[in-house]
Amino acid sequence: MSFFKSRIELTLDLYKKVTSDMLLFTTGPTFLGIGSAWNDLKAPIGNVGQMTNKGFDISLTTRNFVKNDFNWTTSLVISHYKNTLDKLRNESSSLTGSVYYAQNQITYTTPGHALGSFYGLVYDGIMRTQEELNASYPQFGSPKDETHTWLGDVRYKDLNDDQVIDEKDMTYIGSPVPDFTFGFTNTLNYKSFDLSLFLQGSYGAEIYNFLKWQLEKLDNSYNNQLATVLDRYTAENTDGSLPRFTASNSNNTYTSDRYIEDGSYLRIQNLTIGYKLPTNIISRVKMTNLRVYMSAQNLYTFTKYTGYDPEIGALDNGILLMNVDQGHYPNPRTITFGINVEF
Amino acid sequence: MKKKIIYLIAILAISVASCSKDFSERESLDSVDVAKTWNTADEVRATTSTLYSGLPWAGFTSRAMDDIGDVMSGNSHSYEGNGDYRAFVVFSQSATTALVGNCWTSFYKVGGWAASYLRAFEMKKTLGGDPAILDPAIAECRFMLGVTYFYIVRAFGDAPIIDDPGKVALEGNYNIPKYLKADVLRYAIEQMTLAEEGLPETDVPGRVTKYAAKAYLAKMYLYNKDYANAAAKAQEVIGSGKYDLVSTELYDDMFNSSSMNNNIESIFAIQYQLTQNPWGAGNQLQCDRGPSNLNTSESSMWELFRPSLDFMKAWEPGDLRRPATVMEHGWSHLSWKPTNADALYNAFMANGFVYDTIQDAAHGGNLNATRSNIAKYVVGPGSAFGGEPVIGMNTGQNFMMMRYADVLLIYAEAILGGNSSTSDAGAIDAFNKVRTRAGLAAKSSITIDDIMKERRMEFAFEGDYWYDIQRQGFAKAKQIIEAQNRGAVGSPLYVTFGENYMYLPIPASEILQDPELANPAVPYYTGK
Repeated sequence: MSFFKSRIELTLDLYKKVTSDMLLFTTGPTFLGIGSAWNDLKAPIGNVGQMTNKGFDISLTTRNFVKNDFNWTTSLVISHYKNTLDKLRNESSSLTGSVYYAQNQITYTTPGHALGSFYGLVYDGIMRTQEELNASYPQFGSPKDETHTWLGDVRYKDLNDDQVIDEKDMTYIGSPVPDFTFGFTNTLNYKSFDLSLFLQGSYGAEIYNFLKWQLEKLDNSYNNQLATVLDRYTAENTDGSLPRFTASNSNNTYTSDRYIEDGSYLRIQNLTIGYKLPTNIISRVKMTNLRVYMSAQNLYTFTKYTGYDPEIGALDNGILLMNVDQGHYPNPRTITFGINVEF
Repeated sequence: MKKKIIYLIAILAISVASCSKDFSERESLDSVDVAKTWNTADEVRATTSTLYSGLPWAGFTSRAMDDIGDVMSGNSHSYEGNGDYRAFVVFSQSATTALVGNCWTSFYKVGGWAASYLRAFEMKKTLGGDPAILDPAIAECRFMLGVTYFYIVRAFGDAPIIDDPGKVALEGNYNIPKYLKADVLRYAIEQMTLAEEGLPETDVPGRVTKYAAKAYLAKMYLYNKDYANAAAKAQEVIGSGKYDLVSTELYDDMFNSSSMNNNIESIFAIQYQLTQNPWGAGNQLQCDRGPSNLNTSESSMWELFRPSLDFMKAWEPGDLRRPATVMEHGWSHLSWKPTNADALYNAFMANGFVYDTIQDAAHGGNLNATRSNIAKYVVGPGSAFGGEPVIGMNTGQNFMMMRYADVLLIYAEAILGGNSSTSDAGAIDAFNKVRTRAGLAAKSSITIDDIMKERRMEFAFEGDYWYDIQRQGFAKAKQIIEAQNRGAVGSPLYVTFGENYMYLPIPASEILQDPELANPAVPYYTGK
């Protein structure tokens, strides 16, 4: 649609895509003995399920000013989609995604949820006093003493009210799918100056910060850790923000929402400023056009995400490990100065 | 799907290292069409050779085996501050412990490969495949199923049994129960019995035979306290004359020289290749065991596992196995000539490798937490330093899962039965063969404690002692473990042992996908 002599153009695409008979490795629990990992005997590939993607793309372009010496055009693109795994071959089937030598299962998807949903325990603070420890529920059968569950350890929520903490207290703790993503471009021309600004962002997706898991693991005195671990629980620092160091209790570092972070961001992807030298000056040196410009790529990112870069994408084997941050080559910030010359 | 090709199996065609021409080398295949392949013995044997390769076993043999078999049992000590291993020193492993998951995955992986091949071979037979070629291979698969489920039942107790992985995967019904441990062991015995029937009398070195199945059956019957059958099967192996003990002089070479791969004592061994690709196809025990002062540019060593103080205290004077089993002050291997960037180190090692706790650790000494290192499966600093070739973490040394000394001690124990002691000539003879090879005085009467002690020293760092402790029951296990100093020099550590640590917990991520695993175990065999 366009309005006011094409001063405003609006495009709206709605879609619903149902993918049935998805071809996937029919993987399940590792006790099946066959799977999809590099060192697995490959499980048979089957038409294992169906998923639906519903969404819309809006594109809005407005020519805010159209004058001889001043032009300003804005273009906004917004995309939203919702992914749902509708069904698998069997009601008891699920799809999982694991990292770190397949030791850490991060995502678990059953029908009705978005593929690659994060699934884990729910963090409920650190047990800082003997009273809190006494009142806590046993975790995965561990007794309460210094080598097992102790002061400074993580407390998890007992979601099913059975007074023990185990895999039944795991739940959906986040989705890697954003509520919407957007791109916003502004192009301005004023006399001999030109400016373009491209902003890009994503809102509402969660990130599983696995790098933080590794760097704040606090279970191995031979591993390098972040400086944040200095503020861990100790007998002298009972209000530390991180749990205690323990090499013997692995429950603290199990998959949980401790590592889930808001992955929303707004990034100044590109800013370009240019200036055309007046023709009466450059014509003396037989030029028809001379423009000097500066362009900055990845200028700044507004985000609450504590990792390097909230723009993560899918790890290794695709859709079951989206937004799992295991560290990746950082997005460089590039600043370019240039001259365009025409004779 | 209902055509003759029920499903395609992609195979990681890892040809087994072998000194025989009969093993064939094959390029990897993306998938196998049952109708078109397995027409020759070479094709079939190339497939089963993958079951002997280190690859599917890697999650077990690299670290989980040490953690469970030797750290938990108190033979080994591991770094105090290391979360992957500490749990097994102090008994704090839970359903969230990574190494427990690795072990679980590895056993079921080998089992899954073996069961998938077995189904495919059976299908091939229905398509006109040659039973003379396929039946021995089916028996090999059953052997591997027997071995893995024997490990599964000992490590985890009640556990699922996956007879046809492809079918379960395609149907997608993952709500599979845990079966009673007695039934899991029965399943292992059944598979091994079928293997015994189908395996050949003899085969090329490295391949299992009827007698390998008998050796495992003897051990399984022993765990089942079925002493008559255990003794009978062990006797069949002994009486066959197919195996013997390696001599006292070559005892250490069994573990540190790949020239001894598939030696006369070796009954079933993982056939390692000197390679780092694919990961796990090489033997990765050396790097976790070898002393850090033997680390060279060719060979990585970081002594993740070391002999425990309790184990070092257990030696009888004059035991000739000691230098083959552990390195300690004064131990030397003079043909190894490691060098590094440090001139003082090189001067100290100039006449060959010496293990010394007094020399400065920065210049060739080694003063670790237990003042000793594991010698078994440490083949040395690499070919550039007077040893055999090594590639980083990997050696080409086969890992012996079952050796003849085990059969002799199984026989002695089976004859002892439930009695407090025995002086039966056959039992004593079998027992003393192992003992006198070690240079120790023969005994004329033996008890269960004698046998367990002998097993501990003979099979230390071979991943078996935990199961010896476990099968004596919780009360005895508690008594043994709580008496052990599991700490370091200067910081002794005694633990409390609870009955919930007799078996490893099933990994939480598995229960999540199969909630049935949280329910009480059910019988696998019904109405039989």
